Amino acid sequence: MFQLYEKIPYLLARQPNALKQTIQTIAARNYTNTVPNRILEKARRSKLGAAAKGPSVGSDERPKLEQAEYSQAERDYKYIYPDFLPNPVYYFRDKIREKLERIDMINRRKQITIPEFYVGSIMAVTVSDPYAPGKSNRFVGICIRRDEYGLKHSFTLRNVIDGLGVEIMYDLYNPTIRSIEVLKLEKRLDDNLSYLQDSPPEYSTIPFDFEPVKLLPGMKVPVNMTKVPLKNKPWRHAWDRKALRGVILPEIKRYQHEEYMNSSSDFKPYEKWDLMKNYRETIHDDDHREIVQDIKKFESEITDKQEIVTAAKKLVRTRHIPKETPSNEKK
Amino acid sequence: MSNLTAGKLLIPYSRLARKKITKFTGPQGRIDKIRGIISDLLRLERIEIPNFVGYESRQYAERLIDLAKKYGDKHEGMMEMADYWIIEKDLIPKLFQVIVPRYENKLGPYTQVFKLPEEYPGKGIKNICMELKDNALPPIQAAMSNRTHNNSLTNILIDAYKKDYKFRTEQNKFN
Repeated sequence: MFQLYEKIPYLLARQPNALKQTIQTIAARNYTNTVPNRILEKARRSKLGAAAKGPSVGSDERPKLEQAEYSQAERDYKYIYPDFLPNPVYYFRDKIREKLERIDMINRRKQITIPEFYVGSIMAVTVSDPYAPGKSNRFVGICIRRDEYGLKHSFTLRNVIDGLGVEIMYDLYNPTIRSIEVLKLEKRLDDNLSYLQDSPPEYSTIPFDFEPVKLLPGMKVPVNMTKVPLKNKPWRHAWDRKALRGVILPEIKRYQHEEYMNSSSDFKPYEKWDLMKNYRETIHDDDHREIVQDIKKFESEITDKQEIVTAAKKLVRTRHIPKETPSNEKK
Repeated sequence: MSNLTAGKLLIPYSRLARKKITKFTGPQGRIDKIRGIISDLLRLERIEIPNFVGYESRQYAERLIDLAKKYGDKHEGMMEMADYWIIEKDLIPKLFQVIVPRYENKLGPYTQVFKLPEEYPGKGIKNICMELKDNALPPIQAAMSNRTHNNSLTNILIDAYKKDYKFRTEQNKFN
Protein backbone atom coordinates (compact mmCIF):
# COMPACT_ATOMS: atom_id res chain seq x y z
CA MET A 1 0.00 0.00 0.00
CA PHE A 2 2.88 2.40 0.70
CA GLN A 3 4.16 1.93 -2.80
CA LEU A 4 0.77 2.79 -4.18
CA TYR A 5 0.62 6.16 -2.41
CA GLU A 6 3.93 7.10 -3.96
CA LYS A 7 2.70 6.11 -7.39
CA ILE A 8 -0.59 8.11 -7.30
CA PRO A 9 0.59 11.54 -8.53
CA TYR A 10 2.68 9.87 -11.23
CA LEU A 11 -0.29 7.80 -12.42
CA LEU A 12 -2.64 10.80 -12.37
CA ALA A 13 -0.32 12.74 -14.59
CA ARG A 14 -0.18 9.94 -17.14
CA GLN A 15 -3.78 8.64 -17.11
CA PRO A 16 -6.78 10.27 -15.38
CA ASN A 17 -8.75 6.98 -15.15
CA ALA A 18 -5.84 5.01 -13.77
CA LEU A 19 -6.73 5.70 -10.12
CA LYS A 20 -10.24 4.36 -10.60
CA GLN A 21 -8.93 1.20 -12.21
CA THR A 22 -6.40 0.53 -9.49
CA ILE A 23 -8.96 0.97 -6.73
CA GLN A 24 -11.29 -1.43 -8.50
CA THR A 25 -8.58 -4.04 -8.89
CA ILE A 26 -7.65 -3.73 -5.21
CA ALA A 27 -11.27 -4.02 -4.15
CA ALA A 28 -11.70 -7.14 -6.25
CA ARG A 29 -8.62 -8.73 -4.71
CA ASN A 30 -8.82 -10.53 -1.38
CA TYR A 31 -6.00 -10.11 1.05
CA THR A 32 -6.41 -13.51 2.66
CA ASN A 33 -4.70 -16.82 2.25
CA THR A 34 -7.72 -18.42 0.61
CA VAL A 35 -7.87 -19.30 -3.07
CA PRO A 36 -11.13 -19.38 -5.03
CA ASN A 37 -12.47 -22.84 -5.78
CA ARG A 38 -12.35 -22.35 -9.52
CA ILE A 39 -8.61 -21.66 -9.55
CA LEU A 40 -7.92 -24.43 -7.08
CA GLU A 41 -9.75 -26.96 -9.20
CA LYS A 42 -7.86 -25.83 -12.30
CA ALA A 43 -4.55 -26.23 -10.52
CA ARG A 44 -5.51 -29.70 -9.36
CA ARG A 45 -6.41 -30.84 -12.84
CA SER A 46 -3.25 -29.54 -14.53
CA LYS A 47 -0.45 -32.06 -14.90
CA LEU A 48 2.07 -29.53 -13.60
CA GLY A 49 0.03 -28.85 -10.48
CA ALA A 50 1.33 -29.36 -7.00
CA ALA A 51 -1.02 -32.26 -6.47
CA ALA A 52 0.29 -34.19 -9.49
CA LYS A 53 1.67 -36.86 -7.19
CA GLY A 54 -1.46 -36.98 -5.05
CA PRO A 55 -4.39 -39.28 -5.63
CA SER A 56 -6.89 -36.51 -6.32
CA VAL A 57 -5.72 -36.10 -9.94
CA GLY A 58 -7.32 -39.31 -11.05
CA SER A 59 -10.57 -38.42 -9.38
CA ASP A 60 -12.44 -38.33 -12.68
CA GLU A 61 -11.58 -41.94 -13.36
CA ARG A 62 -13.72 -43.74 -10.83
CA PRO A 63 -14.92 -46.87 -12.56
CA LYS A 64 -15.89 -48.67 -9.35
CA LEU A 65 -18.33 -45.99 -8.23
CA GLU A 66 -19.86 -45.61 -11.69
CA GLN A 67 -20.43 -49.30 -12.25
CA ALA A 68 -21.98 -49.77 -8.82
CA GLU A 69 -25.14 -51.82 -8.55
CA TYR A 70 -28.24 -50.12 -7.27
CA SER A 71 -31.26 -51.39 -5.42
CA GLN A 72 -34.27 -49.51 -4.07
CA ALA A 73 -34.99 -48.84 -0.40
CA GLU A 74 -38.17 -48.01 1.48
CA ARG A 75 -39.41 -44.46 2.02
CA ASP A 76 -40.53 -43.63 5.54
CA TYR A 77 -40.78 -40.58 7.84
CA LYS A 78 -38.52 -42.30 10.33
CA TYR A 79 -35.68 -42.23 7.82
CA ILE A 80 -36.49 -38.94 6.08
CA TYR A 81 -36.54 -36.91 9.31
CA PRO A 82 -34.32 -38.78 11.79
CA ASP A 83 -33.62 -35.49 13.60
CA PHE A 84 -37.22 -35.31 14.82
CA LEU A 85 -36.90 -38.56 16.77
CA PRO A 86 -36.03 -38.09 20.46
CA ASN A 87 -33.39 -39.98 22.38
CA PRO A 88 -34.77 -43.46 23.16
CA VAL A 89 -32.94 -43.64 26.50
CA TYR A 90 -35.71 -42.77 28.94
CA TYR A 91 -33.72 -40.72 31.44
CA PHE A 92 -32.64 -38.29 28.69
CA ARG A 93 -36.24 -37.65 27.69
CA ASP A 94 -38.54 -34.77 28.49
CA LYS A 95 -41.79 -34.49 26.56
CA ILE A 96 -42.20 -30.72 26.96
CA ARG A 97 -38.64 -30.05 25.81
CA GLU A 98 -39.17 -32.33 22.80
CA LYS A 99 -42.32 -30.45 21.83
CA LEU A 100 -40.62 -27.04 22.13
CA GLU A 101 -37.61 -28.23 20.16
CA ARG A 102 -39.88 -29.54 17.43
CA ILE A 103 -41.51 -26.11 17.10
CA ASP A 104 -38.08 -24.47 16.81
CA MET A 105 -36.96 -26.98 14.20
CA ILE A 106 -40.09 -26.44 12.12
CA ASN A 107 -39.64 -22.65 12.29
CA ARG A 108 -36.08 -23.04 11.06
CA ARG A 109 -37.22 -25.34 8.25
CA LYS A 110 -39.63 -22.63 7.10
CA GLN A 111 -36.66 -20.25 6.63
CA ILE A 112 -34.38 -22.51 4.57
CA THR A 113 -35.14 -25.69 2.67
CA ILE A 114 -33.42 -28.62 4.35
CA PRO A 115 -33.66 -31.45 1.84
CA GLU A 116 -33.94 -35.16 2.50
CA PHE A 117 -30.51 -36.78 2.73
CA TYR A 118 -28.91 -39.96 4.00
CA VAL A 119 -25.55 -41.26 5.06
CA GLY A 120 -23.63 -41.81 1.83
CA SER A 121 -25.24 -39.07 -0.25
CA ILE A 122 -23.04 -36.37 -1.78
CA MET A 123 -23.79 -32.87 -0.47
CA ALA A 124 -22.70 -29.23 -0.65
CA VAL A 125 -23.04 -26.82 2.28
CA THR A 126 -22.51 -23.05 2.14
CA VAL A 127 -21.83 -21.30 5.45
CA SER A 128 -21.50 -17.56 6.01
CA ASP A 129 -17.93 -16.88 7.12
CA PRO A 130 -16.60 -13.34 7.72
CA TYR A 131 -13.00 -14.30 6.87
CA ALA A 132 -13.72 -16.08 3.57
CA PRO A 133 -13.74 -14.40 0.13
CA GLY A 134 -17.30 -13.33 -0.65
CA LYS A 135 -18.08 -13.96 3.05
CA SER A 136 -19.29 -17.45 2.29
CA ASN A 137 -17.64 -20.85 2.29
CA ARG A 138 -18.82 -23.80 0.23
CA PHE A 139 -17.77 -27.36 0.98
CA VAL A 140 -18.59 -30.51 -0.97
CA GLY A 141 -18.31 -34.03 0.38
CA ILE A 142 -19.88 -37.37 1.28
CA CYS A 143 -22.09 -37.47 4.34
CA ILE A 144 -20.32 -39.89 6.66
CA ARG A 145 -22.50 -39.92 9.73
CA ARG A 146 -25.47 -38.29 11.43
CA ASP A 147 -25.37 -37.81 15.18
CA GLU A 148 -27.44 -36.54 18.10
CA TYR A 149 -31.17 -36.06 18.54
CA GLY A 150 -33.49 -33.07 18.16
CA LEU A 151 -32.04 -29.57 17.82
CA LYS A 152 -28.49 -30.83 18.40
CA HIS A 153 -28.63 -32.99 15.26
CA SER A 154 -25.44 -32.80 13.21
CA PHE A 155 -23.87 -34.35 10.13
CA THR A 156 -20.29 -34.60 8.89
CA LEU A 157 -19.00 -34.25 5.34
CA ARG A 158 -15.76 -35.80 4.14
CA ASN A 159 -13.61 -35.02 1.13
CA VAL A 160 -9.96 -35.42 0.14
CA ILE A 161 -8.31 -32.14 -0.89
CA ASP A 162 -4.75 -32.28 -2.25
CA GLY A 163 -4.22 -35.72 -0.78
CA LEU A 164 -5.38 -34.63 2.64
CA GLY A 165 -8.58 -35.91 4.17
CA VAL A 166 -10.91 -33.18 5.43
CA GLU A 167 -13.97 -33.68 7.57
CA ILE A 168 -16.33 -30.92 8.64
CA MET A 169 -19.15 -31.36 11.13
CA TYR A 170 -22.18 -29.14 10.62
CA ASP A 171 -25.05 -28.61 13.03
CA LEU A 172 -28.21 -29.02 10.99
CA TYR A 173 -30.04 -26.14 12.70
CA ASN A 174 -27.07 -23.76 12.80
CA PRO A 175 -28.33 -20.29 11.76
CA THR A 176 -25.08 -19.49 9.91
CA ILE A 177 -25.82 -22.16 7.31
CA ARG A 178 -27.04 -20.49 4.12
CA SER A 179 -27.99 -23.47 2.02
CA ILE A 180 -27.78 -27.25 2.01
CA GLU A 181 -27.75 -28.90 -1.41
CA VAL A 182 -27.96 -32.60 -2.12
CA LEU A 183 -25.94 -33.25 -5.28
CA LYS A 184 -26.52 -37.00 -5.37
CA LEU A 185 -29.17 -38.66 -3.25
CA GLU A 186 -28.28 -42.23 -2.34
CA LYS A 187 -27.72 -44.58 0.56
CA ARG A 188 -24.88 -46.91 1.43
CA LEU A 189 -24.83 -50.34 3.02
CA ASP A 190 -23.88 -49.02 6.46
CA ASP A 191 -25.27 -46.32 8.73
CA ASN A 192 -21.81 -45.02 9.62
CA LEU A 193 -19.10 -44.55 6.98
CA SER A 194 -16.28 -43.61 9.35
CA TYR A 195 -14.21 -46.42 7.86
CA LEU A 196 -13.50 -44.21 4.83
CA GLN A 197 -10.70 -42.74 7.00
CA ASP A 198 -8.83 -46.03 6.66
CA SER A 199 -9.69 -46.72 3.01
CA PRO A 200 -7.88 -45.49 -0.13
CA PRO A 201 -8.65 -41.81 -0.91
CA GLU A 202 -10.35 -42.55 -4.25
CA TYR A 203 -13.47 -43.54 -2.36
CA SER A 204 -13.89 -40.18 -0.65
CA THR A 205 -12.64 -37.71 -3.28
CA ILE A 206 -15.29 -35.54 -4.87
CA PRO A 207 -14.57 -32.59 -7.21
CA PHE A 208 -15.92 -29.25 -6.03
CA ASP A 209 -17.71 -28.71 -9.35
CA PHE A 210 -19.68 -31.95 -9.00
CA GLU A 211 -22.78 -31.74 -11.17
CA PRO A 212 -26.04 -32.59 -9.37
CA VAL A 213 -27.72 -35.84 -10.35
CA LYS A 214 -31.51 -35.74 -10.57
CA LEU A 215 -33.88 -38.48 -9.46
CA LEU A 216 -37.13 -39.03 -11.33
CA PRO A 217 -40.25 -38.03 -9.34
CA GLY A 218 -41.83 -40.95 -7.47
CA MET A 219 -38.60 -42.93 -7.56
CA LYS A 220 -37.30 -44.62 -4.42
CA VAL A 221 -33.93 -43.73 -2.96
CA PRO A 222 -31.24 -45.92 -4.54
CA VAL A 223 -28.75 -47.84 -2.42
CA ASN A 224 -25.15 -47.77 -3.55
CA MET A 225 -23.79 -51.30 -3.18
CA THR A 226 -20.07 -50.45 -3.40
CA LYS A 227 -17.76 -52.33 -1.07
CA VAL A 228 -14.75 -50.37 0.12
CA PRO A 229 -11.41 -52.15 0.56
CA LEU A 230 -9.57 -51.13 3.72
CA LYS A 231 -5.86 -50.44 4.05
CA ASN A 232 -3.59 -52.60 6.16
CA LYS A 233 -3.32 -52.04 9.88
CA PRO A 234 -2.94 -49.84 11.96
CA TRP A 235 -6.53 -48.60 11.81
CA ARG A 236 -8.33 -45.85 13.65
CA HIS A 237 -10.89 -48.29 15.03
CA ALA A 238 -11.10 -52.08 15.02
CA TRP A 239 -13.27 -52.38 11.92
CA ASP A 240 -13.07 -56.15 11.79
CA ARG A 241 -14.85 -56.42 15.12
CA LYS A 242 -17.84 -54.47 13.89
CA ALA A 243 -20.47 -56.07 11.72
CA LEU A 244 -20.00 -53.89 8.61
CA ARG A 245 -21.54 -54.75 5.26
CA GLY A 246 -19.79 -52.34 2.91
CA VAL A 247 -16.21 -53.30 3.70
CA ILE A 248 -13.63 -55.62 2.17
CA LEU A 249 -11.14 -56.48 4.89
CA PRO A 250 -7.48 -57.08 4.01
CA GLU A 251 -6.04 -60.51 4.57
CA ILE A 252 -5.64 -61.12 8.26
CA LYS A 253 -4.05 -64.27 9.61
CA ARG A 254 -6.82 -66.64 10.48
CA TYR A 255 -5.87 -67.30 14.09
CA GLN A 256 -5.72 -63.55 14.75
CA HIS A 257 -9.16 -63.04 13.29
CA GLU A 258 -10.70 -65.87 15.29
CA GLU A 259 -9.13 -64.56 18.47
CA TYR A 260 -10.74 -61.20 17.81
CA MET A 261 -14.11 -62.73 17.14
CA ASN A 262 -14.10 -64.84 20.27
CA SER A 263 -12.73 -62.20 22.60
CA SER A 264 -14.54 -59.12 21.35
CA SER A 265 -17.71 -57.95 22.98
CA ASP A 266 -18.58 -55.88 19.89
CA PHE A 267 -19.31 -58.86 17.66
CA LYS A 268 -22.78 -60.03 18.57
CA PRO A 269 -24.70 -62.01 15.93
CA TYR A 270 -27.68 -62.53 18.26
CA GLU A 271 -28.28 -58.80 18.62
CA LYS A 272 -30.58 -58.42 15.65
CA TRP A 273 -32.95 -61.01 17.11
CA ASP A 274 -33.09 -59.41 20.53
CA LEU A 275 -36.63 -58.05 20.67
CA MET A 276 -36.30 -56.11 23.91
CA LYS A 277 -32.98 -54.51 22.99
CA ASN A 278 -34.60 -53.22 19.82
CA TYR A 279 -37.55 -51.99 21.87
CA ARG A 280 -35.30 -50.06 24.25
CA GLU A 281 -33.26 -48.46 21.45
CA THR A 282 -36.16 -47.36 19.24
CA ILE A 283 -39.24 -45.25 19.78
CA HIS A 284 -42.46 -47.22 19.88
CA ASP A 285 -45.42 -46.52 17.60
CA ASP A 286 -47.53 -44.59 20.13
CA ASP A 287 -44.86 -41.90 20.59
CA HIS A 288 -43.93 -41.96 16.93
CA ARG A 289 -47.51 -41.13 15.93
CA GLU A 290 -47.36 -37.75 17.72
CA ILE A 291 -44.16 -36.77 15.94
CA VAL A 292 -45.52 -37.77 12.54
CA GLN A 293 -48.62 -35.63 13.12
CA ASP A 294 -46.43 -32.54 13.66
CA ILE A 295 -44.40 -33.30 10.54
CA LYS A 296 -47.50 -33.80 8.41
CA LYS A 297 -48.94 -30.50 9.63
CA PHE A 298 -45.70 -28.74 8.68
CA GLU A 299 -45.62 -30.36 5.25
CA SER A 300 -49.24 -29.42 4.54
CA GLU A 301 -48.48 -25.79 5.51
CA ILE A 302 -45.64 -25.71 3.02
CA THR A 303 -47.77 -27.12 0.22
CA ASP A 304 -50.48 -24.53 1.04
CA LYS A 305 -47.86 -21.79 0.78
CA GLN A 306 -46.74 -23.09 -2.61
CA GLU A 307 -50.34 -23.16 -3.83
CA ILE A 308 -50.87 -19.56 -2.68
CA VAL A 309 -47.71 -18.46 -4.47
CA THR A 310 -48.73 -20.17 -7.71
CA ALA A 311 -52.23 -18.69 -7.46
CA ALA A 312 -50.75 -15.22 -6.92
CA LYS A 313 -48.56 -15.67 -9.99
CA LYS A 314 -51.63 -16.57 -12.06
CA LEU A 315 -53.46 -13.48 -10.73
CA VAL A 316 -50.57 -11.25 -11.75
CA ARG A 317 -50.65 -12.70 -15.24
CA THR A 318 -54.40 -12.15 -15.57
CA ARG A 319 -54.16 -8.56 -14.29
CA HIS A 320 -51.87 -7.61 -17.16
CA ILE A 321 -54.42 -8.58 -19.79
CA PRO A 322 -57.37 -6.25 -18.85
CA LYS A 323 -55.00 -3.26 -18.65
CA GLU A 324 -54.45 -3.49 -22.40
CA THR A 325 -58.17 -3.66 -23.32
CA PRO A 326 -59.30 -0.24 -21.92
CA SER A 327 -56.47 1.45 -23.81
CA ASN A 328 -57.86 -0.07 -27.03
CA GLU A 329 -61.39 1.16 -26.17
CA LYS A 330 -60.21 4.76 -25.77
CA LYS A 331 -58.87 4.70 -29.26
CA MET B 1 -36.20 -58.02 11.58
CA SER B 2 -34.60 -55.20 13.52
CA ASN B 3 -36.92 -52.73 11.78
CA LEU B 4 -40.04 -54.23 13.34
CA THR B 5 -41.85 -51.90 15.71
CA ALA B 6 -45.05 -52.11 17.76
CA GLY B 7 -46.94 -50.19 20.43
CA LYS B 8 -46.03 -49.52 24.02
CA LEU B 9 -45.51 -52.48 26.34
CA LEU B 10 -48.07 -52.53 29.14
CA ILE B 11 -46.09 -54.64 31.60
CA PRO B 12 -43.27 -53.67 33.96
CA TYR B 13 -39.86 -54.26 32.36
CA SER B 14 -36.30 -53.41 33.29
CA ARG B 15 -35.30 -50.46 31.16
CA LEU B 16 -31.57 -50.55 31.67
CA ALA B 17 -29.74 -53.77 32.33
CA ARG B 18 -30.81 -57.17 31.15
CA LYS B 19 -30.80 -59.73 33.88
CA LYS B 20 -28.15 -62.37 33.94
CA ILE B 21 -30.05 -65.61 33.55
CA THR B 22 -27.14 -67.94 32.87
CA LYS B 23 -23.74 -67.82 34.51
CA PHE B 24 -21.49 -69.61 32.05
CA THR B 25 -23.05 -69.57 28.57
CA GLY B 26 -23.16 -65.79 28.12
CA PRO B 27 -25.75 -63.71 26.27
CA GLN B 28 -26.31 -66.38 23.62
CA GLY B 29 -27.22 -68.87 26.32
CA ARG B 30 -29.56 -66.36 27.90
CA ILE B 31 -31.47 -65.98 24.65
CA ASP B 32 -31.56 -69.75 24.11
CA LYS B 33 -33.14 -70.20 27.54
CA ILE B 34 -35.80 -67.57 26.79
CA ARG B 35 -36.55 -69.25 23.47
CA GLY B 36 -37.22 -72.51 25.27
CA ILE B 37 -39.53 -70.84 27.79
CA ILE B 38 -41.52 -69.05 25.06
CA SER B 39 -42.17 -72.27 23.17
CA ASP B 40 -43.18 -73.92 26.47
CA LEU B 41 -45.61 -71.11 27.19
CA LEU B 42 -47.18 -71.33 23.74
CA ARG B 43 -47.68 -75.09 24.01
CA LEU B 44 -48.85 -75.50 27.62
CA GLU B 45 -50.33 -71.98 28.17
CA ARG B 46 -49.49 -72.21 31.88
CA ILE B 47 -46.03 -72.84 33.32
CA GLU B 48 -44.24 -72.72 36.64
CA ILE B 49 -40.76 -71.18 36.58
CA PRO B 50 -38.32 -69.28 38.81
CA ASN B 51 -39.01 -65.63 39.44
CA PHE B 52 -36.11 -63.92 37.64
CA VAL B 53 -36.33 -66.07 34.50
CA GLY B 54 -40.08 -65.65 34.25
CA TYR B 55 -40.22 -61.87 34.40
CA GLU B 56 -37.43 -61.63 31.81
CA SER B 57 -39.02 -64.02 29.32
CA ARG B 58 -42.45 -62.45 29.84
CA GLN B 59 -41.27 -59.28 28.07
CA TYR B 60 -40.18 -61.27 25.03
CA ALA B 61 -43.44 -63.24 24.87
CA GLU B 62 -45.53 -60.05 25.09
CA ARG B 63 -43.53 -58.34 22.39
CA LEU B 64 -43.62 -61.34 20.06
CA ILE B 65 -47.44 -61.42 20.27
CA ASP B 66 -47.57 -57.63 19.74
CA LEU B 67 -45.50 -57.91 16.57
CA ALA B 68 -47.48 -60.91 15.32
CA LYS B 69 -50.68 -58.92 15.79
CA LYS B 70 -49.33 -55.99 13.78
CA TYR B 71 -47.54 -57.69 10.89
CA GLY B 72 -49.41 -60.95 10.41
CA ASP B 73 -48.08 -64.17 8.89
CA LYS B 74 -47.40 -62.81 5.40
CA HIS B 75 -44.61 -60.43 6.45
CA GLU B 76 -41.16 -61.76 5.66
CA GLY B 77 -39.27 -60.23 8.59
CA MET B 78 -41.96 -61.26 11.04
CA MET B 79 -41.85 -64.86 9.90
CA GLU B 80 -38.06 -64.92 10.30
CA MET B 81 -38.47 -63.55 13.81
CA ALA B 82 -41.10 -66.17 14.69
CA ASP B 83 -38.89 -68.86 13.20
CA TYR B 84 -36.01 -67.77 15.45
CA TRP B 85 -37.90 -67.45 18.73
CA ILE B 86 -40.09 -70.55 18.50
CA ILE B 87 -37.96 -73.68 18.58
CA GLU B 88 -40.74 -76.24 18.06
CA LYS B 89 -41.94 -75.36 14.57
CA ASP B 90 -45.47 -76.75 14.88
CA LEU B 91 -46.21 -73.84 17.25
CA ILE B 92 -45.67 -71.15 14.58
CA PRO B 93 -49.14 -71.65 12.99
CA LYS B 94 -50.61 -71.72 16.52
CA LEU B 95 -49.22 -68.25 17.19
CA PHE B 96 -50.85 -66.74 14.09
CA GLN B 97 -54.07 -68.77 13.90
CA VAL B 98 -55.05 -69.27 17.57
CA ILE B 99 -53.34 -66.73 19.79
CA VAL B 100 -53.41 -63.62 17.59
CA PRO B 101 -57.20 -63.81 16.89
CA ARG B 102 -57.76 -64.46 20.63
CA TYR B 103 -56.25 -61.05 21.53
CA GLU B 104 -57.47 -59.19 18.46
CA ASN B 105 -59.58 -56.67 20.44
CA LYS B 106 -57.27 -56.52 23.47
CA LEU B 107 -54.73 -53.80 24.15
CA GLY B 108 -53.28 -54.87 27.42
CA PRO B 109 -50.92 -57.51 28.66
CA TYR B 110 -51.56 -60.94 27.22
CA THR B 111 -49.94 -62.83 30.07
CA GLN B 112 -50.76 -63.17 33.73
CA VAL B 113 -48.44 -63.85 36.66
CA PHE B 114 -49.15 -65.31 40.10
CA LYS B 115 -46.60 -65.51 42.87
CA LEU B 116 -46.21 -68.97 44.41
CA PRO B 117 -45.31 -69.62 48.06
CA GLU B 118 -41.79 -70.62 48.94
CA GLU B 119 -41.17 -74.24 49.78
CA TYR B 120 -40.42 -74.89 53.41
CA PRO B 121 -38.03 -76.36 54.25
CA GLY B 122 -36.17 -75.60 51.00
CA LYS B 123 -33.57 -73.38 49.32
CA GLY B 124 -35.78 -70.27 49.31
CA ILE B 125 -36.36 -70.22 45.56
CA LYS B 126 -39.16 -67.85 44.57
CA ASN B 127 -41.34 -69.32 41.83
CA ILE B 128 -44.10 -67.82 39.75
CA CYS B 129 -46.95 -69.23 37.71
CA MET B 130 -47.18 -67.61 34.27
CA GLU B 131 -50.07 -68.16 31.86
CA LEU B 132 -51.60 -66.82 28.68
CA LYS B 133 -54.89 -65.05 29.34
CA ASP B 134 -58.28 -66.54 28.29
CA ASN B 135 -57.03 -70.09 28.10
CA ALA B 136 -59.13 -73.25 28.36
CA LEU B 137 -57.61 -74.43 31.65
CA PRO B 138 -59.52 -74.10 34.96
CA PRO B 139 -58.96 -70.57 36.35
CA ILE B 140 -56.45 -69.93 39.11
CA GLN B 141 -58.32 -67.04 40.71
CA ALA B 142 -61.34 -69.20 41.61
CA ALA B 143 -59.08 -71.75 43.26
CA MET B 144 -57.40 -68.96 45.20
CA SER B 145 -60.72 -67.53 46.45
CA ASN B 146 -61.97 -70.96 47.68
CA ARG B 147 -58.73 -71.69 49.46
CA THR B 148 -59.05 -72.35 53.18
CA HIS B 149 -56.42 -71.27 55.67
CA ASN B 150 -57.40 -73.57 58.55
CA ASN B 151 -54.27 -75.68 58.22
CA SER B 152 -51.80 -72.82 58.17
CA LEU B 153 -49.40 -72.66 61.12
CA THR B 154 -50.57 -69.33 62.53
CA ASN B 155 -54.23 -70.39 62.53
CA ILE B 156 -53.42 -73.68 64.26
CA LEU B 157 -51.47 -71.82 66.94
CA ILE B 158 -54.30 -69.33 67.46
CA ASP B 159 -56.83 -72.14 67.78
CA ALA B 160 -54.63 -73.86 70.33
CA TYR B 161 -54.27 -70.63 72.26
CA LYS B 162 -58.07 -70.19 72.29
CA LYS B 163 -58.52 -73.70 73.67
CA ASP B 164 -55.86 -73.07 76.26
CA TYR B 165 -57.47 -69.75 77.26
CA LYS B 166 -60.92 -71.38 77.68
CA PHE B 167 -59.46 -74.18 79.73
CA ARG B 168 -57.71 -71.73 82.06
CA THR B 169 -60.75 -69.49 82.57
CA GLU B 170 -62.89 -72.52 83.49
CA GLN B 171 -60.25 -73.66 85.97
CA ASN B 172 -60.20 -70.18 87.59
CA LYS B 173 -63.99 -70.29 88.07
CA PHE B 174 -63.78 -73.45 90.13
CA ASN B 175 -61.00 -72.00 92.20
